[in-house]
Order: sequence, then structure tokens, then C-alpha cells
Amino acid sequence: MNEEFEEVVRQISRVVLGKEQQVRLALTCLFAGGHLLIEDLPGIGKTTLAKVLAKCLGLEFQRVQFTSDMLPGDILGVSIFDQNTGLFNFHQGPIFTQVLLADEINRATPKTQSALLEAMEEGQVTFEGKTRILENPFFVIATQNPLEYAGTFPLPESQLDRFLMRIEIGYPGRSAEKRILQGEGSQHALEKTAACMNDTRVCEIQENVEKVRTSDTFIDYIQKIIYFTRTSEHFHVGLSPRAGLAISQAARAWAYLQGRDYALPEDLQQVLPSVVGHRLRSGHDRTEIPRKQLMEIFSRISVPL
Amino acid sequence: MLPTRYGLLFVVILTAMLAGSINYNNNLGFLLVFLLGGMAVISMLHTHRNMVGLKVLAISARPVFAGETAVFDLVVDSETVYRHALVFNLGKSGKTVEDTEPGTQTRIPVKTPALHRGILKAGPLKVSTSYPLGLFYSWSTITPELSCLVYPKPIFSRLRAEQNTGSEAEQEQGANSFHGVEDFTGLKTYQAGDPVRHISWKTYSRGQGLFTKEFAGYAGKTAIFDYDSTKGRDAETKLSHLCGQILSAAAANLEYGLRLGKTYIEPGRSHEHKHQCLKALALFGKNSGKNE
Amino acid sequence: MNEDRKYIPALTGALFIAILPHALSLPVWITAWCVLMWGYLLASLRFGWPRPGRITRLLLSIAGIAGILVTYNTRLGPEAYVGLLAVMAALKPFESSTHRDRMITAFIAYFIIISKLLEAETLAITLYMFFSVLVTTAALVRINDPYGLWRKNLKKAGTILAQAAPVMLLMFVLFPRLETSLIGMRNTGEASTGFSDRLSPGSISKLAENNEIAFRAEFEGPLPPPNQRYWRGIVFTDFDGKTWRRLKTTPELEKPAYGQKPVNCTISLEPHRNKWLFALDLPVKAPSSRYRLDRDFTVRSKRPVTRKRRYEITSYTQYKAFAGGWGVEKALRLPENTNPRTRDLGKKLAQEAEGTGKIIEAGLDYLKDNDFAYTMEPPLLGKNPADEFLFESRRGFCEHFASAFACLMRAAGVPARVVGGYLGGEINPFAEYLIIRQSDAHAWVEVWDQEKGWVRVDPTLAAAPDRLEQGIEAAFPGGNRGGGFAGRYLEPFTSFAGSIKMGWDAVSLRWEEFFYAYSREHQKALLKKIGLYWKSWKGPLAALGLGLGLATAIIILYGFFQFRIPASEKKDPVKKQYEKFCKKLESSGVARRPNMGPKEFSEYAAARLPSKREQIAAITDIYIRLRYRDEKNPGTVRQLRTMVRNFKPSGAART
Repeated sequence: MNEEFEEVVRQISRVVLGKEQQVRLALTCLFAGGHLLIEDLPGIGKTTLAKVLAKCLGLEFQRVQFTSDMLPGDILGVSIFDQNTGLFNFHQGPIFTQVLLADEINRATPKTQSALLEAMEEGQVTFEGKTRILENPFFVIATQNPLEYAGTFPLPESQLDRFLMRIEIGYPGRSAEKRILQGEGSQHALEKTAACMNDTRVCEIQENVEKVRTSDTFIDYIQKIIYFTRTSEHFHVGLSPRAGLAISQAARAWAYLQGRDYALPEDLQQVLPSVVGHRLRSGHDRTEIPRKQLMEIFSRISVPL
Repeated sequence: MLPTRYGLLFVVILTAMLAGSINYNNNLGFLLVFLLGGMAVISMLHTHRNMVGLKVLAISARPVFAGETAVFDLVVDSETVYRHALVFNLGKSGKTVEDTEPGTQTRIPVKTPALHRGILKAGPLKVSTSYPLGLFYSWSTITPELSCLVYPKPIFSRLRAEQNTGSEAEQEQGANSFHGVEDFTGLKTYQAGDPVRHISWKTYSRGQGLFTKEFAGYAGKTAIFDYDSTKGRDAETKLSHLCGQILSAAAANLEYGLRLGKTYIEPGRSHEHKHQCLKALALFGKNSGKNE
Repeated sequence: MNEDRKYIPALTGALFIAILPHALSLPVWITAWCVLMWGYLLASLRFGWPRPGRITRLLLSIAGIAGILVTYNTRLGPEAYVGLLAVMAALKPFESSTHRDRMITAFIAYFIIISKLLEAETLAITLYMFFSVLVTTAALVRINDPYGLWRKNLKKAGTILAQAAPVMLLMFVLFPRLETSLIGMRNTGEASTGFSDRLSPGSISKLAENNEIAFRAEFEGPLPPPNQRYWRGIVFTDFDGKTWRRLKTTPELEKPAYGQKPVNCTISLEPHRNKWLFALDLPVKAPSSRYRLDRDFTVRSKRPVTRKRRYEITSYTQYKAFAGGWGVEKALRLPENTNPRTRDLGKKLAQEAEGTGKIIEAGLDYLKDNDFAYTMEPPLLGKNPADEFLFESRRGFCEHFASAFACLMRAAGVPARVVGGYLGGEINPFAEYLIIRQSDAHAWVEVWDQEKGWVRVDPTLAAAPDRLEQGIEAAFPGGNRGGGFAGRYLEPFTSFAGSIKMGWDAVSLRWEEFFYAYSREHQKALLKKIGLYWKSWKGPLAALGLGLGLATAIIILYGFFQFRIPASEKKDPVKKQYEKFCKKLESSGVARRPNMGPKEFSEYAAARLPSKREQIAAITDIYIRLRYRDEKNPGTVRQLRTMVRNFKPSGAART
């Protein structure tokens, strides 16, 4: 185990109670250099997770609450005419930060959504012919409320693909909930959290994750999974090559968090539902497949020896 | 790797040819005999190569109804070789001949009849080939773990409410059949309990009697199909009736549940729900609980 | 129907190609039968005509077999066998709805191929055989590959053929040969060609129109000059006044002729179904024990020449042939009441000239001085051909000259006999050997001289000296033979075609030199060279063993290079060891679920077998190192093997 991360996980778990697995997945996603989509009900602690993550890693944090009247400029930034100088000045939007919490992303219009997603994909913003590089690291945590449909623009499947992982936080366990009700893990705890890292270290880790070894056997396993999704009746459309890369990347980050410089099938199994959950649709009715069922399906694929 | 019967016949033919060549001391005859013999032996290697390294990556089968043909989809990885005329044999029946291309995964449907409800174990899968010359036969047998779920053979009967009606409200209405609200289908004599707003006042005003307008469309209604109250000679017939009812209900987009002995499946209308109900029917009384 | 469309043309094509070389030798009705059947079959595929049913096919088969019986008249020799094959082959494609039928059809095609080989062994047929085998094999591949393309089938067949070639050569060289055949030689149904054992006017001029090759002769060293290219074949001694015959019995030569300037010559003789062999005048001894040299200095085979023969023979170009005076007496016999005028002339010559030499000269002079003409179309001669030729027509071909001259000599008291053979030959410019055709057939005279023995005299040259120098073509002035107006204009083309023909002939001969002549002796020599002694029956067995061994080696090498199994497959030792490890655990009640990763399984197993925790962890660790950390150290693999071997998870697992 990597002590450095254990400390981070411990710190965060003090604020987000009883959600260690989700915390680990979120960290994995960050260190894999991907973006995270959290899909859950309100009041579950999505925002808290994002905040504490930023704080603990010593990263700059911004939050945008998406609404239907939002324009791309509200995120990317606007040029404002300065009467004193007679020039247009670019006012950076909230996107110029290290951790961006895009709350309720499905409330924004597709135009605004795609502006954000494009910036996420490319790591830069082109505005009025000028390209501005985004921060490094740049990590977007978008949230979505799966139950609220009225007045929302659900992200299309192609856009969902830009998120490395999608996780659900879920209700806290019985004991964790008790602790929450007792006042633990409150705002106070969040403020008490100290930074364990800084942005340079995060970048360094991201580079190290790239170096995690994926052996032939491991890649065989990924291929096996991908081919399975492409041919099985369970899925409407199989996984794309990009999804395959995403699996590999996430598994490597997970392995790194475990303190290893090589990836094991176990690492892959841990991240797999989060990585492919939003990329696959049921072959029967094109609805999303519940995580549990997804895991059941993938458990049929044997690990190559 | 064994010679086929044609391989044996070929040996006999070659022996005859060799005898002829020896007899006539004919060098050209020798040449041909050795050429053909060499080719037969070389073809053995080709046959071997046509098989070796073939990977069966996955086998899946979507559930079928009893009496239909179960299709097991094999996903086969050909590796780097173009493989010709591979014969896939599942159990005693179901033979499929396919080529597989290098570097791709080929999906091969192997059919086998599903006679009885329950779990159809995919019998030993035999992959064999006698390509290129048909003189040698190379095979390999694997016993796939996967099996195919076979739902009971559906018997469609008129969807009737005697089965059980779901919600309390429904029962209060005392509906005998599933009354819909969407499409007007006809009139029927009024029975106590029919909704007042469905009474055809027009006909009443003409003095023709009290009629209720009937509408088709079951949306929004809930039915619970119960094994114990289903008619049928034996368990299988009952299950078949239940199966037919579930299918009809699903086709009508009706919400339905299933009570099967101790098992109770909450009403629902999704595809998964249908599958769950049918699966329960398929496995009813068959080493229940183990395979679920 | 669809299947038919795929397989039938291929099979029919294979049969057609296999039977094509037979087409000329088969009775016309069988060829027509094949063409008709196949034509109908292909047309029925194309236009959907009805296909004959079972009964029709049966009737057709019976008709075909009946036809064979009638044609070959129950002489069930090889020809009848080929005919039967052809008849069957014509019908078989109709009956090819099952895989079994199709396979058998392909096998029939192979049978047809070999039946032609047993009949003729030329380079052309050999090359054709490979082509035919290729096509038949492609058809065989096709019927075993329902989705393949014709081109791919052909390519596959070609690959197999090419890969089988080394095996074929090896087996060919090493397979033990027998000296003689097991069951008697094939019966000789076909008529003999070339010379017969009698010579009467017209028998050679008939041959002169025949352009077939009689034999080829290769020389060690330079070719002998044209005036020595007399190919001795048969000696005709017996004369009844009209026809010359061979003597019924001729004893074997006891003492070889005395001579000088030996010439070694290898002759490839085309089969002529008689026993005589040709050799440059004058052969010294028989080429091998299969042949003998008789006292008339002709070489005879012990069996009729029914297949191509190749023999080496030494001849003296300058010789004194006595044979102990054998046959001299018989060479004087002249029937009393025939050819009176010739006899008178002979007597006159004998009186006028002194000594054998002078008599011969006088005889030749008579031919030179009296306007004798050499022609292919001599007038028919009656009862006393020598008289009529010498005194009336004075026009004739070599047999006329030879027989009349020999007759004249006998009348003059000089022992004389006629020798039949060939004169000259065409030089193949590509390889410096002579091609002797039937049209080179010639007859000359041998006379007995007390001091010189038998002396060759060619009376034809007295009338047509060009015959010697420039061959038979030149002996006839323009227009007499072949090429008229058209011939002259087509000359450039014919000469080009001629040179191609010559080149091909040279290649054929070279090929025959190696291939055709390959026999038990050659094999023996070859095996001795590579150190395998040919003693009694052990030799052939050793050769066969060696052949099979080498063939296996070749195949294994092929297998190694061609069909190497990827390293990650089957033989991966790490996989094997880990599987073994899993199996051991499974037998003690801890089964690995297929979706378990190594670490998960290790923990799972350790929890159930706490006593083996360390071992399980250690094996898993090594396995992970090899599998997921890409450690390539063979030592580590060995370590894994040892650990797995020593791992004994006995006792039931705690559940």
C-alpha cells in the first residue's frame, strides 16, 4: 500500500464518511488524468467530496452551478470592454482552475455542456481566436441527478465517453449515517482538513501512473473484456477502443494507488464498473445496466492465465 | 489428429498406385505416388495449423422458449491465421461450418434444439476441421460452462383477470377484465361497479339499456399471475399458460407480477422484469435456488 | 443446387484435365461420351435443365460398361481399364450431392492421372501431371472448404504441392527399385513402329514419311562425321528373290570385332515393340545383361522394347568384322528361278573383274553410269524386283538399291547381305546430340571380303550422294517432298518453331537422362556414395528407412518453421505451472473461479488453507512477477516449477 495515498484517503474519509471505495475511485480517476462524473441524488455528499478532494490535494477549487440559462462564456470566460483603456480584457471563467465542480451539469443547455466538455478533452480554451491553456492538473467533477428529468438535457452517450469514470456515491451505511447525524464529518471537519499534497506532486503522480506496467496477459484480459462487450447480447453497442484505453488507464492508476508499478487483473476489476458503466447500454432496451448486474456479467469473463 | 475415412481410402488408393508403379517399374508412377503421399502428409500439418491456436473467447446464448432452437454464440479468436471450414458441433446436433479471419473475432452461431424448459447445458463443444484435403481430421473438445435458459413454451390464452388483480383499487373496481382507457372497442352491458364515466349515456338516452363503453389498452393496470390459480393439466401446462400470459402482458405494456409457489416477484414492466419472471418459470421446480 | 454450382465445375474441370492426355488414344465414342456428359452437366447447371435421376444414371453406367466390353472385346488390359475410368469419370459428377461422392470423384481423377503416366513417360506428360495434380488437388480443397474462393483453393493446393515436392524427391530417390517387374509386363496391344523383320521394296519408303523420333544419340566427345553415322539395327540375310528376311536364329557373338577409334554413345530409344536395338556401326559389345550382341553384329534386347530404353554402347568406326565367318555361306544363297537378268549381270561382273573389291566397284559403277534416280515414289515392282529395278525402272528408294545390289553381289559370288537401320540424324544445336527419326530409315549392303571381313557398301550413294551429306531432305530436289509454295513463305516461322522444338527436345533428353534412366543401378551407386551399402535385402530396407526418416525430418522442420505455435500459446511454462498449482488447490477443495485474479485467488486460497499461506503467497508472487511484471528470467520460471512441484496442499480445506 502506498502510505501517501492512505493518508489522503484517511483525510478525505474523515469528511466523507463510509465512502472509502468511492473516494479511492475518485482519486484513481484524478491520478489517471481523467474526469469524473458523479451521478447521485442531492444531499449525498457530492459537493463535499469534490471540495475535500481539492483541499486535501492542495489544489485550487472552483464550483459552477449549472443552470439552463447559462452560456458558454459563463464557464470559459468573457471579454469585457474596458472603457478606460479602450481594449477588450479577457476575464477568465471558472474553468481556469485545477478542480472544477460542475454541479448538475445536465441542467445546462447542450451548447454550454459541450463547451465545457470540449475544454475538458483538449485541456485548452479557444476564445476569440486565442488559445488559452488550462491549468495542470485539471480535474472536472461533474454531477448529475439521475432522477430529475424535467428541464434537463441529459448528456448524450458520446459526451459521456469524455468522463473516465462515473461513480455513484449512494446512501451512507448505517454506522456512517449515525456518525453523520452525530455531527461528524461536517463542514467543520472539512475546514480542518489539511493539504497533503500540492499540484506539482499530483502532476508527478500522473506521470508515474503512465509508467505502470501493463503486461501482455493484462492487455489480453482487457481485450477479452472489450470483445465480450462487442459480441454479447447483453450490450447494445460494444466498447470503443477509447473505452479500452480508459480501462487500462484507470486500472494503472488503481494499481499505483495500491503501491505497485504493474497492473493486475484485480485492479481492472475494481475500476471496471465505474469506467464502463456509462459507456454501455443494455442490449434489450438500451437502458443503463445496473452496476450489480454489470459486475455479474463481467464476472463470467475468465482471467487469462 | 486422425485420418478420415477418405484418408484411409486414399492410403488404399496410393498403395494400389504404388503396386502398379512397382510392377511397371515406372518412375513417373513412383513420382506421382510419392507426390500424393507427400501431399497427404503435408496436408496433415495444414489441418493441424487450421486448428492450433484457435481460441473460443466467449459463449453466450439468449434465452429461448422450449421447442425453439437455442443459438449459442461463440466468439472465436482466429489469431493470425485464416482458418477455413471449421466445423462447430454442439452436442449431437447443431453443426455450423465457418471460416474465421485473422486478427478478428468471429461470431459463430451454433444451434441446438431446446426441447424442455429449464437450463440447457451447452453440451461438449467440438471444434473440428478436415481442411484442406479432407484426409485428416483434427478436433478439440471443450465443455463450456455456459448454458442457455429455456423458458417454458408459451400457450396464449385470453388474458383474464381471475388470475388476480393487483392493487386494492383494482379489486374494488371489481373489473373482470383489464379495462383500458385509450381505445374505444365496444359496448357491454353495465355491471355494477363499472366506472360511471364510462357509461354510455347516449345509448341509455335512446332507451336501449345501460351499457358501459369498453376501452382497450392495459396501461396503468397491474396483474399478478399466480401459479396456484392457473388452470392446466399439469405443472408444465400451467407454466406454459403463465408464460403466455406474461408475454401478452409485456406486449400490452402492462404491469404484472408473478407468484410462483414461495417465490413472489413484485410487479414491474421492464424488460429485465420480464426476463426475471420468465426465468423463474423456467427454473420452477428445477434445483431451484442453485442456479439463480 | 448452390452446392452443385460450387463443386461440380471444379470436379468436372479436374476430371477433364486428367483425361485430356488420354483423349487421342481413347476410342472416339468414349471421348464423345465424356464431352457430351460434361457438356450436358455444365449446361444443366447454367440453364437448370433436369439432371438424370438414379435410374437413368444406372442405365447410363450399364450402357457405358457394355460399350467398354464391346470395344475392348473382353481384353481387359490397361486400355480397357482407362476406358472404364473415362466412362465412369464422365458419369460421376452427376452423382456428387454428398461429400462422399465428391471425395471419390476427386480420387478417380488421381487414378486417371496415374493411368496416363503408366502409359507414357515424357517430360511433357510429367509437367502435365503436376498441372493436373494441382487442379485436382484444388478441386479437393474446394470440396473441403465451402466458403473458399477458387483462387484461394488453387493457391492452397499449390502450397501443399510445393511443400510435398521435397518429400516426393527424397522418396523417389530412395525408394528401393526392383530389377524386373512383379507380374509380367503389360501386354503389347499397340502395333510396332519402325522396321519390321522383313524388307521388301516399299517398306522403308513408307517410313520416310514418318517424322516420329526413333531414337536420340548422345556422344561422349565429338560427333562422328556424317559418313559414319550409320545406325545398325537389323541384318537381313535370307532372300527369296523378292523379300529379305532376318535369319530365324542367330547365335550370340563369341569374340568381339577387332577395331579402332571407339566411340561411346548413349542412345535413348523410343519404344518400337520389337527386340532389336540400334547402335552406331559397329557395336563392340552388349550394353548390359539385358541385351546381347549377335554374330551379325546387331544388338538385341531380351524383351521387346515397350518402353523407352536408354543404353550406353561402344562402337568402332573402323573395324574388321569377321565373327568367325559366320553367315557367309547363307549370304550367298540366291533362289534359282528369280531375277535372271541380275544373275546374268552378276556373272558377267564376276568374269570381268578380279577380286571382291573390283566386283563391288563394278557393281557401283553400273549404278552410277545408268541414270539411276533416287525417289520417294518408285514405280511398283513385280515378281523379279531386282531385274525390274536394275534394267527397267531405274528409279527407287534405298531399299531398292540395297536389295538389288545385294542380289547382284550374290549373283557375282560375293557374299552380301542387307543391313537395315538409320542413316544420319539431325543435330540438335542446343545440346549437340543427334535426333534420329523414322524418316532417316535406311538400308545398305554388307559384303564379305576374305581379308576385311564384312564391309559396308551403300549403293544408294551411287545414285544420290547428297543423301549422306545433307540428310534425306536434301536428297530430294525442291518440291518433291513437303513444302511447296506455302512452305517457302512460312519458312521464317517454321524455322522459329523448329528451334523451339529443338530446345524442348534437348530439355526433354536431359530430363530423361536423369529421371527416366533412374534405376536400381543408379540408386545403388548413389547410396554407395552416401555410405549406405547395398547388400542383399538390407540395402533397400535401409534406403526406405532412410527415406522415411528424412521425409519425417523434413516434415518436422516444416512444422517447426511454418506452423510454429505462438510462444504465449500452449507451451507457455508459466501458464502451465500456474494451472498445475490451481489444480492442486482444486483437488484439496479450493477451486479458483475463472474471474479471479492471482492476488484475489491467493487470498481466497490462503483463507481456506491457512497452513499453506506462505507457500501460496510465494507462488503467487513469483507468478505475478513472471506474468504481470514481465520478468523474463528462466531461473524464475524454474523456481516457480520447483515450488509448484513441492506444493502439497493435502487435507481438506477449511470451509
